[in-house]
Amino acid sequence: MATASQAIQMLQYMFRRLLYMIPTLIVISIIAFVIIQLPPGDYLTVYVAELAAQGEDVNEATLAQLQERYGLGLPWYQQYFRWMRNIILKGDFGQSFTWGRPVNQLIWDRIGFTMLITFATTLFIWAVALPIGIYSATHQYSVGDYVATFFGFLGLAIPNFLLALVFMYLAVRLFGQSVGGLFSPAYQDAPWTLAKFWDLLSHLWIPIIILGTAGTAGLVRIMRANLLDEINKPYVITARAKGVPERRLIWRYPVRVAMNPFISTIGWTLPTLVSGSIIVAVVLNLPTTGPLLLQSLMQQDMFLAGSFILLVSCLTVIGTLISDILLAWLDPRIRYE
Amino acid sequence: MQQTQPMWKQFTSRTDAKTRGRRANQVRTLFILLAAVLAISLLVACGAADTSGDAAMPAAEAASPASGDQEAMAEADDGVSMNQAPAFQEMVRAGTLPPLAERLPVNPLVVEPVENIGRYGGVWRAGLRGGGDRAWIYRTVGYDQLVNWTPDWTGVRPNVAESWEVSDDSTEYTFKLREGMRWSDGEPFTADDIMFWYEDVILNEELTPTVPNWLRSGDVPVVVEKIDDFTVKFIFAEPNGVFLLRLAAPGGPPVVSYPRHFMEQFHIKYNEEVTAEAEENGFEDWVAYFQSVNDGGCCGYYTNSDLPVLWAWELETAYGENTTTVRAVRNPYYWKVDTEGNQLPYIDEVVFNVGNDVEILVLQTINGEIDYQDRHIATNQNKAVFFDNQETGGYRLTNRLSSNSNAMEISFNLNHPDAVKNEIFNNKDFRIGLSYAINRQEIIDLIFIGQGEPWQAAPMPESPYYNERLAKQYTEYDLDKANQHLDKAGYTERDAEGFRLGPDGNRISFTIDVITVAQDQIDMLELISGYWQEVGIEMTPNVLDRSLGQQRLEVLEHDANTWGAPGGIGFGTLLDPRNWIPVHGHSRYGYAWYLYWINPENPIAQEPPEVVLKQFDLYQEVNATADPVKQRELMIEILEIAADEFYNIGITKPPTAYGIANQKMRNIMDNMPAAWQYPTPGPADTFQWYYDE
Repeated sequence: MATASQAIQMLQYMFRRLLYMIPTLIVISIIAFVIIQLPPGDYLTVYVAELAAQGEDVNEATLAQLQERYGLGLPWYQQYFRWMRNIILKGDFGQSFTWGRPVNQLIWDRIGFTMLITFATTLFIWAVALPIGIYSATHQYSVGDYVATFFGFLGLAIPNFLLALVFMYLAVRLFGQSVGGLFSPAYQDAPWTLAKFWDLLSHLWIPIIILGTAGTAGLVRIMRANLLDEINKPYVITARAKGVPERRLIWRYPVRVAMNPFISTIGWTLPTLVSGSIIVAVVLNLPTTGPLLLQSLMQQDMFLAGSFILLVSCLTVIGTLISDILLAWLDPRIRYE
Repeated sequence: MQQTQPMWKQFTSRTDAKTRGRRANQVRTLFILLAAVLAISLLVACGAADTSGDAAMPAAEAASPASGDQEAMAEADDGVSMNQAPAFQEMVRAGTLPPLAERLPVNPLVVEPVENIGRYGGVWRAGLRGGGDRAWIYRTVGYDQLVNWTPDWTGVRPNVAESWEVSDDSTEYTFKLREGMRWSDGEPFTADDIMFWYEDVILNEELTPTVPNWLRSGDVPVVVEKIDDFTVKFIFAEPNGVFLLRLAAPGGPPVVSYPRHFMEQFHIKYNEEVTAEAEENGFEDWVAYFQSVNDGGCCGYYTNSDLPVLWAWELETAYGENTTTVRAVRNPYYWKVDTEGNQLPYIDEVVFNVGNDVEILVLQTINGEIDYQDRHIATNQNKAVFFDNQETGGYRLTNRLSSNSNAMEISFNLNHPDAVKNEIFNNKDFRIGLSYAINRQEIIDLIFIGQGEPWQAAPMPESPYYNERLAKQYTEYDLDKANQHLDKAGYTERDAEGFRLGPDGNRISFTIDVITVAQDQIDMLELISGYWQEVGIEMTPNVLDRSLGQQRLEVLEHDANTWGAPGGIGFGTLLDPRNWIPVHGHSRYGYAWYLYWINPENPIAQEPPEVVLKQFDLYQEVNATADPVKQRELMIEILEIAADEFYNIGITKPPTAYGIANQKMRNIMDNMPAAWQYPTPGPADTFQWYYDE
């Protein structure tokens, strides 16, 4: 009986969260679209300016035609409704001006690689941060704790992109390895084979480590602090007094409570790894969404940028939903509120 | 052309081992013949600007029998020609590719290599930035037009057209195409393909709302007629003296870029279902669908790998099909051969890595991962880094001839909407005074490591349009003269801080817009700001984003700005005279005058003064004149007026341009012009570059 009502509670909770997502996404899409329109000029201004800087030029007739074709003469809300209507009715995200092809065809392989890197990095962060955090908390003020703290602060303090630059410099200077990207030139656009997969793995660890450092350092600190709070609570002392073995005690109770932030990370790693890692991705030349997003924003490639922001927002909202559900499942207190 | 005689002797001694032996004598005879053909055709090419179309005809006739012989000889023992890439030999043996003789036109274009006959093989690695960088694919892979520039940029030479004739009044241009020439998918290229471009693209109002300027006489579009399968005629309503030049320039590619057999399926005239198909594929209408396959302009052809092309390499992975790489592989039907009859190109494939960050490209270059590149990376700031790492990176620096007319030109907004600033900037003595106040030698020493010469925005001494007064006037550093001119301009009153007062009694103070990426220019402006303070003028550099700069220009909000200054050498001056006559969107001193030139009805347009109108007339005459001597005289007259008017303040000759090339890469022309109108390195024949052992 109790389980059934719990399940209903859980479903109600999920339904409510799903409902909240809709207005959130609408508002995000409008804000994103408006922000994209804020800088002076439009894609054509950027286009003409870039050509002119290279000594190239484009004639008036072509410009007039482009403006007509892209519908850039319309007010922003009309452009927005046109865009949204096509997305909802046809799943059509519009045209990318710079690439001259539908946005749909451009972003999916990028999103695939982004998810791969995000997922791998999250696992890396957990795998490293969890044991170190627990160790630091249970061995507070030991040599090991100080070492972990020292590297933790270093990891937090060094900007990722700087780390990326140093890694790349070392890779070129010491190993003569090809820099940037996820594949060696030979496998760049080859079909998927075992060899290509292996090549991917041999490149993947660099971005994972670089992207993971700050997250790892942060989580170690959070884990340590949370666990320290828990360890000194009366229930732990009681359990210890009752003779529960130390290892089993720590893992069974305080660690589970202190785990909450790990679950919440799912919600916030998705957006930070997509948007927060732009600079690293640009520096490392990764085929992820970041560089394409940055570039489309700089060139005012409206629909490409807008689609990215929309998708990233969706991912974030979904990520938050997943972490909320997991939290509610893990910690009953949350779903009663 | 200058080395024809010694070159062919060298070729015979270097003949490939495979073709040596029993055919040696025949080969020798062939070479003499070919050398003769070559000499004639190159002479024709050089003279082509003076439209000596008549002379081209004998060249074509002489070439036909020669190529016939060569096909017969090129066959190896098992009947498969050795004059093609090894991979193609295998394919011919396997029967998956027709023999070479069937793939080449009756009269292939014979190209004399820059240094040596090359060898097949290798990959040329280069880099692209993001999605808007098609021009680099055009420059490296896609420069094959009806006629091409000669490598030294002194004229045009036959390319897709094997010869041409021009009527005496330069209204009719008749082009002879190559019989048996094929698209990269093996379908024949004929006059019908050009007619498709003309009738269904240029004259189709949906695809081309306005016929481009260079294809019109006034409001009347050119008429194109098909004479026979291999002859087309272009007829202009009025004399057109620059048509051949425009055909060879970056406006020219569309003429030979629409394979009728492939494009018809995307055109509403030939396919009634096309609108539905467009929607299925996510396009608004058939026009967008058609243009996504083939978008005209210089650079609209790189997004679809199915599109048949005439280039040395055809796209296997097109731009945007994959957002990280573009790959182009050897075209089995390429219609050019070297002087030994080997089908070109030598290099197997061209691979572009699509990145975002220029620094990555620089790092890749230093690491030896780039084989030829100048775009994006060959800047003044990077030169030292590249120079130091040549050894480890396995590359060398090649010389390019900068086509700019200055390292930086300051253009005052002579159309300023503010009456006071308008008056000040239009005061020629004001501009002269400021020019005298600039210590150019110090700028050269500090920013360009001593390389340069005080210079106004003007053609280089080696240019046929060189004008000493335009180049050197007001360039000496002389504070007395500067003050004299500023006093003469009427701004003698000064405020408490020593700054001169304008006609409204306020301090003369203005900004110069400069874009963030032009670091050299920002540095120069910082120095200049100091120089001008000494003569009582307050100037602040305004560093801004490129698109913001462009927008300020378009609404005349800028006081003054800097950007790039092309037009220094070759035909650049004639084709892009933006610094001397406001007929270009980046004639930034007179943007409103430029709008008037395009369309006097434009609300922002301003009617230019008498003298600019006279320049307009002269430039129109230039465009209508077929005689190159007359053309040059008219151009010089325009430049004389520009020298009188002194539109821009220049600083120094542009720094020498360079490129990065793999140490093993050969046949790269030394001192190739670096310009957009000469889309470097395209006209320097990238298809005959090769890798040494």
